[in-house]
Amino acid sequence: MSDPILAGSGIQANVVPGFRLPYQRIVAVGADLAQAQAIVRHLLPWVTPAARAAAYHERRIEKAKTLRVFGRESFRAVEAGSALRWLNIAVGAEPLAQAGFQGPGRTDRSFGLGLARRSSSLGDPSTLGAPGHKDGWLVGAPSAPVALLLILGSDEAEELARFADSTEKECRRAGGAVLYAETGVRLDNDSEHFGFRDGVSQPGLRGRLSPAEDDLLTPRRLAPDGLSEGPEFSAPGEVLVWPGEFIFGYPRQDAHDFRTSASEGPVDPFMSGGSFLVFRRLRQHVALFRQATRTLAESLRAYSDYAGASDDWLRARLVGRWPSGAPILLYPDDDPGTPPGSLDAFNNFGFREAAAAVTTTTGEPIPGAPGDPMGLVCPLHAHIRKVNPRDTSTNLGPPSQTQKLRLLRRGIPYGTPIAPDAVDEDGVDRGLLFLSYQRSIREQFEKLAQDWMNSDIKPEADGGHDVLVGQAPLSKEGRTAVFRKAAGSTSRRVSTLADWVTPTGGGYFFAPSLASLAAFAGNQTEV
Amino acid sequence: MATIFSTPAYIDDLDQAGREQWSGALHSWFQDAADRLPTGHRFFNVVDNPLPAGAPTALIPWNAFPRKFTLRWPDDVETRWKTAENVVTRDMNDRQASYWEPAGHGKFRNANLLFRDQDEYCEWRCLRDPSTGRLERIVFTCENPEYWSTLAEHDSKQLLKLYRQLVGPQVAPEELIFQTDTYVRGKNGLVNLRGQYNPLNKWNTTDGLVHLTHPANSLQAEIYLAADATVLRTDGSGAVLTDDARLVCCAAYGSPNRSSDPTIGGKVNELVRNGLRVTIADPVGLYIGELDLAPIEPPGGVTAAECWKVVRGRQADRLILRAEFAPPEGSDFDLEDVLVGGEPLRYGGQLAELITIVIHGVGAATDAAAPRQGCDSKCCRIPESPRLVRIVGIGEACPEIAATLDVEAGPLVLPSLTASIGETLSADDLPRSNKRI
Ligand code: HEM
Repeated sequence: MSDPILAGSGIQANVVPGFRLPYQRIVAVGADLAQAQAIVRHLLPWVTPAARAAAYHERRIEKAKTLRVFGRESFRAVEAGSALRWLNIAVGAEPLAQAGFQGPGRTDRSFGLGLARRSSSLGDPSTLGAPGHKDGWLVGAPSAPVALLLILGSDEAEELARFADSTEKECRRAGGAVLYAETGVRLDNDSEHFGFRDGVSQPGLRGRLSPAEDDLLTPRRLAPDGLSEGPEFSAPGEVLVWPGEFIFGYPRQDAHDFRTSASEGPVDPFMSGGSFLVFRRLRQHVALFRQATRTLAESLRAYSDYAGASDDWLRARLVGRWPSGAPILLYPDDDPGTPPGSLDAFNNFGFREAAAAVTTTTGEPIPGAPGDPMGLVCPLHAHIRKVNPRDTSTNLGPPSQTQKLRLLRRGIPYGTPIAPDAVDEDGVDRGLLFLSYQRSIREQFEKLAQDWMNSDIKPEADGGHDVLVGQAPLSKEGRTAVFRKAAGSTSRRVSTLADWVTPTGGGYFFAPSLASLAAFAGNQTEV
Repeated sequence: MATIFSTPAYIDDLDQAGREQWSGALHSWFQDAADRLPTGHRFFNVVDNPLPAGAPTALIPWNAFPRKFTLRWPDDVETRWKTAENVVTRDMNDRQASYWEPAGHGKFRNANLLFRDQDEYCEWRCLRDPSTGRLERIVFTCENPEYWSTLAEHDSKQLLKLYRQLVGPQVAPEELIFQTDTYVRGKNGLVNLRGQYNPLNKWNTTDGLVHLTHPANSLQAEIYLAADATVLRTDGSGAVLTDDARLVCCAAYGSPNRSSDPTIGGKVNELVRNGLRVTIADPVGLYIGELDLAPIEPPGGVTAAECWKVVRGRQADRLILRAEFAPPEGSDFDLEDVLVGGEPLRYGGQLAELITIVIHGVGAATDAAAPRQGCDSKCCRIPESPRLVRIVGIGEACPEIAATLDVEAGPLVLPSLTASIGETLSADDLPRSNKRI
């Protein structure tokens, strides 16, 4: 079966291919149904569809290659003089239900309940008044429900500011209240505030944007492997997943076989082309992270077999990658800094089995990586191993099933970075505007958080918690990381009670197709 | 060093002779399991081959809520929770308990005994207020039926005492016993259990919960599974299989639709691939490893931990056998006032989704090469519900699957996955039971 044709003019652009723009602003709007409908009606002409963003990024990446500019610079190089104004809209459970669109709430029970009520499932503090408790959230607190979540993007900061200004005015004019608005900026090296490169690994989506066989949403950087089973890769380490795991109305991933699609069954027409959006505002206490990980490393060094573990060595193990994005499975001792060629060289690994060296379609040789089923090199608790166990089998099933737990991550950092050597808190609120799109909030995002990140025995037993991002509110020792030198050797455990990530807001939303947005707004468009 | 096998979670229901009887039973299953394996196999038991000091242990975790319901109703959470509470004579896959009654002319038919359709080695029962229907208490168990049969055989007074303790004083001794001719087929042919312990008695099914009842939830089956999974398996090209799902289809050591079987088998096989001999650690058993309390919010300052009471076994070493979730003594709320994941607690499944079941594996280094075999079987999709698969012989053809199928709909019970159910059978055709008899 060839890749399904995705409705490029109907799906919102941040679902696929993702805004990826250096400046983005999240605006949470409080409104009653009529107001929310009016706002959507007014903003609809601005909503950016997938096809437009895909075409833009294709041009940008081409240009960047010839001019040899990367990162933020590549955005300036594309079309001088015409700064971008991109907009996407997602809707909360309440206005959807009030407008008579019951499908999303029925399909995903957690969406219907909303993030604030599900907050305890994610391990958030449940003591009133504690930092991170939902009642104190800056956005999405139970007392101030969010009807619409707008995501605005531009390649220029000033343009984003102007665009935000006019959009927010539009919301107010229609009677809505701007409950929260915050700008995120991609940092140098695409790192998050703890200093690690983010956005290295994403699922590869099967799908075309037109009937042309080669108009693929996810460019294939590897030639077809000629196999009939097992995972198929679009790029080194990037597994191809059927789009129905993220967007309604398309074939889904089969639970038993990577390459076969599973029929989706009848889909509520309103939901077709739409996707559920999770927004979490996660404040990062960077100085605390630095101090507490130093203490963790000290406790580990107290064991003679880990006497040589540096602070940075330990931090990289909490992530599973070095600050440059280099996976510790390939670079166990030091951060190589830059990849030998493209970032593809930083993603060619599994955990259970050795990954073979490959050559990409552009002729770039990509080194292989050893397997590490016991977590002797990349510990079982490492963030990237917890949230994507890749080829390992887990308590939630074998890899063909856990590929159904992937997310389209669209997060962006907010707040100015801390001084490189600061070890004391500077009082600045900074962190990650975590955004992810998926078919099911309950079976994807929440499963990763509740069942895996916050557990010290799952998905792989005896590993410890996801110390980087997980929560273990009821554990006396706090979050535990387990280190193991050899198959038969005693494991070493170190724990921390330091909460260096605090949830400060968010919400669960549905990002409908453009046609369904119009239907929600009350326009007479058929969906 | 173990000279005899301990009781599950070291529980002290039995006297010395009873303990020895239990240990003897375990020992014979370990031996039977090993006898099925090719020579040079990597399975052992800790009584005959004591563990070297520092042998690496491996916790094997899976989720307590039956995965088959999640596969069957991926979006419909309520139906899943509700269905999982059914006490049935046929489970979702049309499996029945292997007890037989005479049907005349030397034939037998299935005795249609009731059991809970909860097949991940964890079962639960909800106690509701009879007048309001509101949920008051949920009891969870992972106690294997074989242990209770041993207890019944060795000390029927203790059996009754425990039933009365766990279920209520109303339990009458004769209610725990088969009152009519009821047969199982064991190693040495048919056995009439009339007058013996009935593991599926009403105080363990419709009216109470003491130990596991689903036909797949047997300890003996788990030992066999662990043993069978020590054999390395190769695919057509001779490559050693490493994927849990492919292994269970190839070796047919369990159900591919459960969470437990592929996970246990896959982990055991992995330990063997890593150069170890493998066994289940003493005390051999299935255990509730933990309940994730974070999503549970009782009202009025009460903590979830105060509602979670371990009744048998112990929490500290992940060796829980039985636990209850109920408001602490003297509270003025019931379970429907407790929020789980933001909504009132109305079904046991809401907590089962937060429970992790474990077995404790253990390995010892060895230099001997592990035996390898090709595949005996493979998995085919079930046409009525293609998210589920069944195992067939390697040479058999899979049934056709319709190209477009509404996978959400379909009957509650799927057509028979096990042959010859419902008909009358002659003694020789009755399926062999794993039950301890
Ligand atoms: C402040 C909080 C967080 C920080 C600092 C953080 C940081 C990182 C970093 C540095 C990476 C490696 C880059 C890459 O592989 O692309 C990563 C990957 C990832 N993170 Fe997070 N993360 C955070 C929160 C979350 C949350 C809440 C989730 C979801 C439950 C999540 C899911 C993922 C996933 C799925 C990956 C990709 C793993 C892979 O495919 O290999 N992260 N994160």
